[in-house]
Amino acid sequence: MIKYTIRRLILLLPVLLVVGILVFSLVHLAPGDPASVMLGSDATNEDILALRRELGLEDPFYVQFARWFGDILRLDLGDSFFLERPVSEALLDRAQPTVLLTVYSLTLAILIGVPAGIISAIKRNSLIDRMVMMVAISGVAIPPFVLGILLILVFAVSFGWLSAGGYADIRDDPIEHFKHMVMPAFSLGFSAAALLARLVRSAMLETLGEDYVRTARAKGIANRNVIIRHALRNALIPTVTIIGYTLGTLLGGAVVTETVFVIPGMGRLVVQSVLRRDFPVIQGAVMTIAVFYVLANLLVDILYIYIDPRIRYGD
Amino acid sequence: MHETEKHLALMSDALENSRLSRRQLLKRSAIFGLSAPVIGSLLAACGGEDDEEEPAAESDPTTAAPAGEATDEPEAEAEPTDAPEDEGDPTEASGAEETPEEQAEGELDAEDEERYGGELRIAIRNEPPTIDFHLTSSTETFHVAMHMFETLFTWDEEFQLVPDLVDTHEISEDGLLNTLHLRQGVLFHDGSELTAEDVVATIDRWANVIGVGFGEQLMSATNEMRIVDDYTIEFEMSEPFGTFGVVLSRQNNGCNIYPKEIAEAAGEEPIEEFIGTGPYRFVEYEPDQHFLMERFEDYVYRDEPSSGYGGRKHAYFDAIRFIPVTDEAARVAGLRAGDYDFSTDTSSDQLEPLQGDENVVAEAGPTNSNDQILLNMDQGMMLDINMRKAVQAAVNCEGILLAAHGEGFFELNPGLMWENTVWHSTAGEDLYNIGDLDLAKQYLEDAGYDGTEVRILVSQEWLPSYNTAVILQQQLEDAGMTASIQAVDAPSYSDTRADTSSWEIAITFFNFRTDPAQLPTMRCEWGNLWCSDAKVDIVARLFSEVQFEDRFDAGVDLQQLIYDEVPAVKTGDGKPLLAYSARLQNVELVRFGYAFWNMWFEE
Repeated sequence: MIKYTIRRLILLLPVLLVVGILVFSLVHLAPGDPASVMLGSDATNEDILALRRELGLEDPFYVQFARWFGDILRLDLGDSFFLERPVSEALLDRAQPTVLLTVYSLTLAILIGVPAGIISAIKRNSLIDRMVMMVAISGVAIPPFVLGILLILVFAVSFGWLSAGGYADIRDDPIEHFKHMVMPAFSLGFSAAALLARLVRSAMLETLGEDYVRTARAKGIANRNVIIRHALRNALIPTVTIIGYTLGTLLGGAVVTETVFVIPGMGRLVVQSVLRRDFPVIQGAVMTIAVFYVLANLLVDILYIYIDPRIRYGD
Repeated sequence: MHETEKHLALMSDALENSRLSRRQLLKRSAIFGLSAPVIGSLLAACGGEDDEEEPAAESDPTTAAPAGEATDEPEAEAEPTDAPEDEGDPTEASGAEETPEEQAEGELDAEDEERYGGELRIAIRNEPPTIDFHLTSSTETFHVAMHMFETLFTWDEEFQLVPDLVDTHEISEDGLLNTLHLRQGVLFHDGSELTAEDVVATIDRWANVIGVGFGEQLMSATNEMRIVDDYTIEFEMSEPFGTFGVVLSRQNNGCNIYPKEIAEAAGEEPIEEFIGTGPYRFVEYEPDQHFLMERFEDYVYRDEPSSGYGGRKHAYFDAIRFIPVTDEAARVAGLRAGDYDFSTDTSSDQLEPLQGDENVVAEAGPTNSNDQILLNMDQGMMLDINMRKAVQAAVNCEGILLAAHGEGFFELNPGLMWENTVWHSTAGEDLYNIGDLDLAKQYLEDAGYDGTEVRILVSQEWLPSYNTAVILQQQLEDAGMTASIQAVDAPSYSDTRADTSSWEIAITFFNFRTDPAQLPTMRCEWGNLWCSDAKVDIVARLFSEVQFEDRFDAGVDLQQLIYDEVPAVKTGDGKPLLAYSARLQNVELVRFGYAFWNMWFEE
């Protein structure tokens, strides 16, 4: 397994190269640049051109790419055009809200989605099953940001129980922190929970129909033990795969959720950076998220070994 | 610390540092309902000044204890020193003869004291790209920076130019010598005094090192800028320069005055310290979270009453916090939930839901945008005057404005400048809002129009502009043109507009300006690159003429030229939706950038 892990980590480099080329090309070839945003609407074309030269944006594309990727290999993400500080520092400052939002959302998704899927599978075609699936379908259909706005209107505007947005550091004020994170975590986690519920139900139904489950029941094993120790464990393999995938979508969903709830996380930083064409931040953030995504999937693959003893990675 | 104790501490400090006289202490003590023994011990401890002595600095409510939440206290007890019971009129508390001026000041102070306190939270659409106004014309920078920094001149309620950091401005008879006498005793936030060296260093950076457009124009007309003494600067001009005060006034990309050391150290790079002379001082900046400033307790204000952006600037709020909230729905929801006190850039669509909320005020503000349809004067089919006149003839302004801004949020105005300003003119109005499709078709025929697509460039982020493009497209097609819309985001808009081969029409707008010299279209190298000889001549007059009447005539001529040459078609003036907490009072300074001094909270 160690060799497998090392091999997967080495494969990270070509992944980063491809992601780097793609993101660099997209941001530089798309219209718009930071100079016009910095200078404002009254600026003349000459003013904008002068600033572009100063920022190195008039250099040939391959020169800019080589300069940037060379820095990446030295683990230097460059400096933000607008924040006047290293990109790595800016991302690190904003990591806490995004990581915590993702963790809370994923936790909610698992705590709601997995039991809902199990119950739905056990009570197949019953009223409970239909109600759970109806809620799950709506959860998948409603975009997180729409749900977020609805939650704000109800709990912040109408009832005044919670703030409409903002963030409190968990180290400074844990209670305020959780009060600010309840709605964002729920709006993001709910759609992930809905997806998980449907998939867990499907996986459970498949395993519950297997011969070994029928055999276990025939041997007189209690139904609860059949479900938890036999059916669920085998249903976990596709579930863990989906959780790994969900982690990626939650990170992406955090971008919009942070904007709606005014959370100063990495997602909001990326949105702001795209709007003002802060190229180093966009590139650095995308690369960071790509690394994180690859590592998350590697973790999922390693978890398989513990879930399914049949799975062994060649050494 | 209890509120009264806090005020006591502040008054004690003010008395010790000679910023408060005995008389003023007694006035303020009455307001806070302090008992005689307390007042006596305060005076004894601080060695309170004789009534005849003036305080070291100009008396300033902002240096005394703000009333804030202590508004109940003035109504509490009668003072043993004969302060009246109900309103605690401080002018009677001293028991000594007062001049009418002192009496008026006392009444003002009494009213003022109740307004002090609280933190104003403003939700702004975008984060300022920089706070250094020398480097940008960003609106967000305008909103934030102008609370911490000041300029040499500013604008009163009629948008007449008035001095701000300047005390007096003299112009020689031949217009070749401008002499500025600075106000004395004005302090920067770091405690140092504003002198001529600071002003010269700042203007040099703004005009020469960075080379801001107005600054370049000023310097190109200036032979020498020299310091005469600590508070006097002379500008020896090569030619009369009628916009001297205008270019040094409060405006987009304006010459905010910095300390000499900061201006010189920064050079072309953004300033690293935010030290100004404004009524608020910098506290902290957390990107994506907030920009926080607090009242500058040693602010030295002008004696004149408040008038527009000039005169006395009352910093009633203890602090102002600007919070970037990109999403409009989030700004509005936050306002309604009480998380913010003011929301900028709220579309008129929000009027109805907001008016139903008793905690929020939603109303149309004064006109502050000037909507323009720019025609490409650099290349392509719009170089033909008949094509431009066809567009001018086809445009029905009312239809466009209704879609762009909504009912009640616009005004038809043919003027280059806004109504209710001294510059407004109706020159060329017979060519405004024509909406004659037959006339347009005639012009198209004269141009030999062959059906080539007319590309309309617009930013989809500016909803009024986008809606303008949608209606304009329809009007042009009704006139017989083939028109398409290229909707892009804001950074792409600037980039694409710079490539004049990619569009025929570009939709834009100007924010409110106080003088036509401030309009970006004055410059040949801006936007649609309009640079006819006639324009250049008129703009030169606009900048160089010294008498207002001559400048006004140049403005009228320019407006008529715009209608004759048609480099652009004006549709009208838009009004913003002002959305703010119901407890916010005196929301007046909203037209030429938001200024939150002179506003206060009232529950």
